[in-house]
Amino acid sequence: MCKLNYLQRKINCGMRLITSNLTIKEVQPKLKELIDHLFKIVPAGVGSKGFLKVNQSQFKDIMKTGTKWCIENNYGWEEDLKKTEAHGCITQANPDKVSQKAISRGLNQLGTLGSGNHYLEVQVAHASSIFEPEIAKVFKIHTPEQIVIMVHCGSRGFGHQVASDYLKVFDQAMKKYNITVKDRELGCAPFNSDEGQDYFQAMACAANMAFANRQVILHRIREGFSHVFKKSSEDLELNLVYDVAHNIAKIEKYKIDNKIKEVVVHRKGATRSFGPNNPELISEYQKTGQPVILGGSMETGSYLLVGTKKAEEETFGSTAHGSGRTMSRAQAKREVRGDKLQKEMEQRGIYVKTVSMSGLAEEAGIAYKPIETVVDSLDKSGISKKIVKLVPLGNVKGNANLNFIQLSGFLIALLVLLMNLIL
Amino acid sequence: MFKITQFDHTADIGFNIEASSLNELFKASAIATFDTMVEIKEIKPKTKKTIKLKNNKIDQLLFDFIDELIFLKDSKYMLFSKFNVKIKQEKTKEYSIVSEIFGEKINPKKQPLKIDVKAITFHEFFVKKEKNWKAKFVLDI
Repeated sequence: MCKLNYLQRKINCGMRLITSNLTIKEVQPKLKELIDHLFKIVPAGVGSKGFLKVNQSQFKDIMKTGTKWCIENNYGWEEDLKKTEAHGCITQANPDKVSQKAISRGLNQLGTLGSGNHYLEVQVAHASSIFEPEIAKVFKIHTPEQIVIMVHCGSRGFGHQVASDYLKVFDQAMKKYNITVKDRELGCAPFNSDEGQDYFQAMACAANMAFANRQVILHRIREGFSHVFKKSSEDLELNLVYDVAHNIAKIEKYKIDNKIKEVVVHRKGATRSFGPNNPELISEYQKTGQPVILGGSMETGSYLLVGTKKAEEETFGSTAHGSGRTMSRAQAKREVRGDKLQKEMEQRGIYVKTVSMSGLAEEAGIAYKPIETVVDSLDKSGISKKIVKLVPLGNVKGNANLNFIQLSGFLIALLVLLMNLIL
Repeated sequence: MFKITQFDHTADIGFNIEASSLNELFKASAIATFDTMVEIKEIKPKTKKTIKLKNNKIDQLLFDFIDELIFLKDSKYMLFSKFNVKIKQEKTKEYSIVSEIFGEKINPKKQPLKIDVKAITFHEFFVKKEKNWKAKFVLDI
């Protein structure tokens, strides 16, 4: 097993994509009503609380079983489970390794978007933006101008508290194990040490809470669409395409020096990108490969890609995770005014609802790299293949950042893995 | 007396704090943290909470203090605007802090909220004494 275990912030921050049978023609007249309603039922911003109140014992079950708890408690459909990375549960989770402080922070956070760059976006797949129609059909994007919904969020304050708690543990452990790092924030410990194992089990709890959080948000999205369009979510065919993490450490097997070896892959600002015939994938996606969801800025759009064998061979099954910032928040605020940006976007057909205008300014499209450049380079390199471009129509904004410089995301995964490869 | 300077960071928010005393340094760090989340002057000091912490290292005490403030924000749904800080160094060389903090429940309808702070990080983090006390930290948002 590997030598070091780097600490992850933003544990299981990830993406979720949902399709519908609605088209832009049906959604456009009700867009404001829809976004305003989703803004109301999926809380965002500082100190937001979800509608779901769970007790300590239920929260421990969520930490252990993730998405499964949601399905068992009627916050989702059975098929959602299989369309979530790792079926929405990292099995090594052990709630005994999580502090009461972290639990207290997380208890009321299920079903909340949070702040930062987290968002819920209603998007359209224009006919001209479907690059691989056959694969898009497998992912249930089949109609010109079809409406989809994208969600970006993670384990909220709960995951951050888990990370902060173990950052302090690792700060001491590094002295014990004679490990030096350039930045104390990159706290680490040997994977098989007590500290390393404790953290891995606590991290898995936060990862499972994040899967559950995104599942409860999907449940609320279904309720919201049903309320606005006066049809059941089944009739609206609000199907989950996939839920994929872009900040997580997982034990996976790879062929190294002609031997199958078990390694820890840290995807920090990197998305899993498994290709066709990977045994981890469900039967529907065996021929296509795994859906890869890449978030862009709220002005420019996002992409659905698919994983490849090349990624499994060259980047430990990893690709990038979004368009990544090029401008600091302070700089973006100096250049853009939130209220002005909101009006300009509305004129361009994008309706944004946010709790914070300054936060909105920080998220302006000019603060991000062009998503096309990022996606084209991934496509060209062959570590994921572009399927559909998704254009924003309406956005519920927690407000703020894609944290890691995106293009270097998979490189980070690769480098960290190489450092950890001492088996 | 203290001075708070925000510095540019691509994805998160960083602060340089300079203060005439340790008490002022901690107070200013708390103000910087909450002013990131809300127009702090709009938060009424209605409710008091008390924080008591100890640590052998002064930098880790600041880390723990900010960590506790962020925890109270999420677990008690409160934002704070007034901070009384008393830091002592015991004979054992251990530092202790007793801080009375004042604020009110989060209310997005009344308070001009900005961006949520999820954690203090060790990235570029330090606390040191030169002519004045200085601290530098990056908040994860």
